[in-house]
Amino acid sequence: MNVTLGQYFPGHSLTHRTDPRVKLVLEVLFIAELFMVKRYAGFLLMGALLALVVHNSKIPLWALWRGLRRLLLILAFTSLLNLFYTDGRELFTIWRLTATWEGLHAALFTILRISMLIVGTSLLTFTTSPIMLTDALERLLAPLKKLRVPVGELAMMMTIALRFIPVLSEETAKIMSAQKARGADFESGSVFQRARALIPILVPLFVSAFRRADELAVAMECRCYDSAMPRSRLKEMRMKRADYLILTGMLLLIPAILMGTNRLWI
Amino acid sequence: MGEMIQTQRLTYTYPGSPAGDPVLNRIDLTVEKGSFVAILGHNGSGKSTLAKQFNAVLLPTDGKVYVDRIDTVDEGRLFDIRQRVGMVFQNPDNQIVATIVEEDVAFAPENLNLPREETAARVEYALRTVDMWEYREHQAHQLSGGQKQRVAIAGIIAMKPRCIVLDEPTAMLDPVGRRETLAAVMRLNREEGITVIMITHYMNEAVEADRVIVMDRGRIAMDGPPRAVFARAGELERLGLEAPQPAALIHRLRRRFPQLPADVLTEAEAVEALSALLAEVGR
Repeated sequence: MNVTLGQYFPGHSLTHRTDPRVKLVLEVLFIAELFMVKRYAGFLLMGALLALVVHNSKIPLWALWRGLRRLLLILAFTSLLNLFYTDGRELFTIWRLTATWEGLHAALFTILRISMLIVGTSLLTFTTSPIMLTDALERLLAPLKKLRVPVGELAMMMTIALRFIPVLSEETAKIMSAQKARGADFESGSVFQRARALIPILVPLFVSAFRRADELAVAMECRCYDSAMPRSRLKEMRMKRADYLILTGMLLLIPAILMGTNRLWI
Repeated sequence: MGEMIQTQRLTYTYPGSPAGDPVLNRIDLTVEKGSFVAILGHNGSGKSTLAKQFNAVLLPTDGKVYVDRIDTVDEGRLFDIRQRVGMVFQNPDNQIVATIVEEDVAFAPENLNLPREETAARVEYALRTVDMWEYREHQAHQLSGGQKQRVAIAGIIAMKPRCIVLDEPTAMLDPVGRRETLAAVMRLNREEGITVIMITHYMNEAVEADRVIVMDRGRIAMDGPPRAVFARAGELERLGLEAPQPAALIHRLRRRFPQLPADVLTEAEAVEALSALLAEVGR
């Protein structure tokens, strides 16, 4: 089964080596910016920035395309809605639907936004191992520990969830084949009937997930895990000079793109 | 050498089951440091429950278990016990915590709060010992069963345990994975001097041990070097086990040809005994 979510491509590029906290902060900034840019020039510059990172990370383009491909339908649907349901100057009319110039721009903006969003977030998970990502999150959220939020436990839960996504999706496929071999039908009938047909998949899946959880808990205890104890890290996070440079550079560049281009014509 | 694990009249009853029906029934057992012990027994003989007593996953209902002279009920020394006796389970998928191989192997040293350099050194040592160093940056779920189980073993080795208990580590593997895993376990025992206690139902794996213990209904039924235990084929059969194939074959042929040796264990020995027999009969 192809599971793109949380997939990691090991590597040693600058993108891979950048401190995951920096990557996480910049990712959030990047996404916020995507929704504030209002000019093509802005998207062009953001796209150039993204292309630069893609090139540096050496992530194969097919991997990025695989992430985008699943959203093609949603993209097509939302852009059509945008095209026909935005008020403005008429572009052309089919039957009773009128496409507008404003609608065309809105549709293009949506496509650009969503696809850059997908590529941007994929880049983060492709170049950062799940443990590094959860570690970064744990450290960024560390101040919440003072409010008694169990940040360490939450990060461990995320690590385990990411670890078991491929295991459980493989298991789902196996159970589905087993039920199909016994004559189960998942494809026909009303939505209601199809939802009911999923019960014989979900029950064994949950039973097995609980059994796995139980075994994993014992195995973790055998390896001296205690959530109340301090843990060290194999990969210590220490901000290097390059990290500070990238962080400050981007903190200046990204808002500059926004402010510079939103005043332009195109 | 001294004893690694010692049990004294160890009795264990699962919570909820009647007190008169213990899973482990007054077991006295001493495992010497540096030895390789195989534990055999049919399902429900108590062998897995016994293994879980060796690193305080379960605690005795009655009697004592000492790990390196530490009483396992001593809660303050739980980590000392777990660090000394590592445990590997049947399903490698349910033991691997992190997505990336080296990050998973680092899990135990991280829990012990070791400094980064020490953690990194232990990860390298552990992965090299099981011959998985080249896979350190791979994703665990993309490895083969045998490779995953070796990663799970490395995750335990990274604690630098003195003893490692394996509960049917090859039961879910294909023949190749089984061979790789057994080779890694034997290397740990012979080259690293780690005490190995391996529960298995593969007789050819038990042959590699230097002591075989057969469990039956919560008691130790047989205990001795593999050659001596497997020579008692009739007794094994009554306990629901079968001697390794070469031994079983010679045992049956001995009814017709009593001149065959009684303590054949390996294929090579069986071939030798049979060719000697053929030469003799041919004459």
